[in-house]
Amino acid sequence: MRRTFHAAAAVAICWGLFTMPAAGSVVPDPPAAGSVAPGLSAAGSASRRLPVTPAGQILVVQANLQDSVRQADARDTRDLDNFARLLAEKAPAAPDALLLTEILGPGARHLANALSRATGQRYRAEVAGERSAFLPDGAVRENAIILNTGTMTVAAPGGFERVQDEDQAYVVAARRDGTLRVPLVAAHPGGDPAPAASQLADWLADRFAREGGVTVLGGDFRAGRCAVPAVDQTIGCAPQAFWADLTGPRAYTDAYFERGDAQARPHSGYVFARGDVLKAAIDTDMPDVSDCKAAFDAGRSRTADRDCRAAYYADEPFGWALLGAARDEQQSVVPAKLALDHCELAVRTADVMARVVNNTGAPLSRPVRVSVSEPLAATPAEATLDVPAGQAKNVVVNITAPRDTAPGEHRVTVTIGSEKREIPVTVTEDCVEPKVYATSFHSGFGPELAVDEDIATYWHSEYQPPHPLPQSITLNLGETKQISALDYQPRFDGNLNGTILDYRVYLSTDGQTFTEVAGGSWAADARLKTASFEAADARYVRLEGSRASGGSYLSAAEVTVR
Amino acid sequence: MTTPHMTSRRRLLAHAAGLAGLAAVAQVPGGWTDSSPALPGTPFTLGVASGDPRPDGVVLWTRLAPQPLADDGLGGMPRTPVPVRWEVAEDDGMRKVVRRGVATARPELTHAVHVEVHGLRPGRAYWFRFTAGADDSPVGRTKTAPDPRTSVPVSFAFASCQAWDVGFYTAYRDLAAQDLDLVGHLGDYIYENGIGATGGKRGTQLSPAHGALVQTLSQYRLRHSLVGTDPDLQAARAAAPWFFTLDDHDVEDNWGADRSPTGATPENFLRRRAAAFRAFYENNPMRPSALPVGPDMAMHHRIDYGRLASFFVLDARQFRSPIDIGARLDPSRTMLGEQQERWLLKGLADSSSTWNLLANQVMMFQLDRLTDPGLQQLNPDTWDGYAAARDRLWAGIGERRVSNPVVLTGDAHVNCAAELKADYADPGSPSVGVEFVGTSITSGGDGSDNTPGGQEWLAANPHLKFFNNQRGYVRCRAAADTLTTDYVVVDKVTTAGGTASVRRSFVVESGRPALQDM
Repeated sequence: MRRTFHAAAAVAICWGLFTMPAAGSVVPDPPAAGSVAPGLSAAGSASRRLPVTPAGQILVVQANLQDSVRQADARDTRDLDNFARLLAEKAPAAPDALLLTEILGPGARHLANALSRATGQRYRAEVAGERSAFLPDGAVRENAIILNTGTMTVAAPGGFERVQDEDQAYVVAARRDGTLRVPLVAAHPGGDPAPAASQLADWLADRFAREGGVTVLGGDFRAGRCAVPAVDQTIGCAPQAFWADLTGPRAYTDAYFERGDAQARPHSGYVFARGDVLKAAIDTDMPDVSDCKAAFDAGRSRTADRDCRAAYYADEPFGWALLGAARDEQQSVVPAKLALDHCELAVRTADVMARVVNNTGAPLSRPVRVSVSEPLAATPAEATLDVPAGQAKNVVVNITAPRDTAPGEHRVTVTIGSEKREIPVTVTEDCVEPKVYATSFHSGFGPELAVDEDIATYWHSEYQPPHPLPQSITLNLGETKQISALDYQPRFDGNLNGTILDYRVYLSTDGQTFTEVAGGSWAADARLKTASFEAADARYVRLEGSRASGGSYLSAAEVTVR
Repeated sequence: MTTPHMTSRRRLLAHAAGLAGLAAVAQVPGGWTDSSPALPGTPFTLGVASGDPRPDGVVLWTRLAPQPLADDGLGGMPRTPVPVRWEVAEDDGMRKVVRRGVATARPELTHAVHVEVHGLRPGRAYWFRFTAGADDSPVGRTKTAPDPRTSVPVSFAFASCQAWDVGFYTAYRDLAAQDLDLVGHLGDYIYENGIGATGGKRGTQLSPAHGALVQTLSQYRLRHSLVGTDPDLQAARAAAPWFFTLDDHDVEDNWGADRSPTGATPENFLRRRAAAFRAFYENNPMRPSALPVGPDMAMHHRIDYGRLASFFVLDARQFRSPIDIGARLDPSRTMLGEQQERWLLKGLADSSSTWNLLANQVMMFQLDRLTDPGLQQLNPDTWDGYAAARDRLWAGIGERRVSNPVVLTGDAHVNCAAELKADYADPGSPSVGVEFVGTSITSGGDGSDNTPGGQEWLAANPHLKFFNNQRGYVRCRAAADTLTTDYVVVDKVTTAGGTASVRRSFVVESGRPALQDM
């Protein structure tokens, strides 16, 4: 009796978490107290009981636990215990399902027990791998699905589907109260996530077409949302192909992107759902654990410092999503609020995405109007989303303001069809602008490496796929200065690939108009090169290369001006 | 394709030849029944090979792949085990069979077989072939290592860096025609880049599966299959036993330990490494003990040739410290890893061989690319980036009074011959060994005899005696008193039909680590 009361009280306390209205979503009703406590509890556990999710919803957790490729790491389960405890503290309710990557069979069972103890619920590893991630035929199996057996039941038996030589875990689960069915996949592409996601989505559509419910594809997709990997993931970046495919023609919703306030964070974990995302989050207050990983990877977590021992579970954050059944039309505007605190070439810039998911059997068309008042501007201000049946479409609207716009509050009004949403916009005091831009770069060789005063690191323009020359790198001096020379230090690692042979130098004071001030040819060696020109004012300096050593790409260890 | 009639007749002959000593020669005697499934074509499209010679045996290799370029990398084979018969004979007509047996080609290993043959006589050539179903493989030649008590000169060659789409394997055609005891491959056997629909310089139609960056096991398998279909490479593999180590492109450009330079997490990279290693093992005649365990592969090993030569085949990728040119003098950093470094120094101390050959991936000698006084340009990826580890290794070699240490190197796509110095800052300091850097088979394209960069290397590094920027391989002969080295170059690789010639030869006298012209 006491236990039931405790659980119900916890629900009441936590309920506020569920009632924060997400734009366009239906506010769920609280569950009846009787449905909360199925009377399951880990034996001997005296821990608090987490509330469970209400009828018609499920709470899905996604985590990449990095506990599979090294045997010593997998045997050391302190990270899994930490994860169970932190998850119980941070999740808004007892998770119904966990979609896990990089965890072995014994680890998944250990985690299910630890989570049972931490939550007062009972968890079971429904689909999990072996004692090694590497199977005798060379394939990899390190995905797992854990279910809360108090709230969920297996509606159709699970197993593994092999994609890119990696076994993807799946199971069809259903709420015990019969209010929602969820085909679940814990996914981890072995290579390029685009073909993997496409293959998995095809397989899901084919295999579970008759299941109905909310299909959930969660896991680690190896890549951030933006095709160009950068710390700052703008809403309007060109998306990775897998992301565009899943959230477009396949009508999945990226839960962390739409409801998790995680748009700008680089992360490779996702919960894609073909349903309504009511709320989501990723573990943003993860402690700085960069020094913990080595000890945990080596299976020597006991030698890690106290903070690590207490808090480390992986260096990728877990996330969760509260999901409900799909609605016929799902509209969303991301993000919920904007800060115009980022400048590019002297202009404050931020993006807003308006999106419509069409879950009906007929195409629909929705006009999108975005209005702002001066000095803000919206581009495009009008668009039409023609959404085929069973698909989703979005439009990205770029909101800009001059860099010297006075700080203050503004708003953007986004109207999709007849639904109007107001997005608050803050023009900040400062505007952060990159120190350097490049027309392209190869992953791991960004333009910042050409201005880091370290001759051993270098920018390399993209070569996979090949990008035609000219390419360029543009320095932002932060203020207008008089300069008369540019120094170019080619990469200094013994390889001359990308060393600029034919160059041009351009200057700009406003970031928009660039004037050529020098041009010529340099020798194919690693010596410092200089381009001199008549002294002129510049805030931006562009070095363009139209011919380079090795092929159709540029590189630079350092670019400076004086 | 062989007709069933011919095959059965040939098999009959082989049986007859072996009858006299059947019990003695069969490693897997009796029970040979042909239970092979029907295959969609001849399965021996990837040729045969042998490796890791010892005085009493070698490893024989083949892989059944009736459709070698099937997109899934599985060679068009059914997913069932297939018995593969093997025979070793003393003659190239396969009449005097001395060992035979049946191996099982398993789908888990893409129907590759790695047969460890024992009971052969030391220091002699053998011929071998495989039979699966109604098909016989081509006949390969191999050679056992000499008796450990004898001083028999050793002829060997080494090669590296064979980007398939960059050119033709003309150098291998020439190598296959040499009378060699051993061939070493120093890495970049495959490259991980996507290859377009017309196969680069090869002008061959390829499916879109070849166009993607190679990351998964299927993709690595397919890339090895593509490289393995080359007839010149097959001829070279069928001409002598090989040894292997691998380098960066066999997994990913510039990888080291569990680190990818393109931002993959260590876990994702280790899974990729596991796939790359496994496909590498499946497609090469390595000892079954080298079969990777997850992301780990035991690559460093030793091959002894009588009293004259010991090859220490090294792994300068899997255990190295992170690249950091600024920390090149940090003694806590390692190139080989503590365990391998200890194994190497112990092996060198124990070796009674006249020539101790360190076969490794990356340049050992200090290479300053610039003549400018006070300005050094060193490569962070080579031993120059691990200078303290290099100093430690050579101090250890000196302390152990190792006889004639010689470094054999790939990776660089150029030919170089250098004397290794006790102290590179002091041109007058003694030479402690010599290094032969062998150029690429294709990588880098046709090249040219010299380049302005090469001229500058020679000017900036007095211990560097030779530079050449063409493609080819290196051929050596280790005898009691001398080691002779021929740099074989080909005039072109981007079109078929190039011509090979010896560009430069050196001789090293035993006991005198200096490069002398022939």
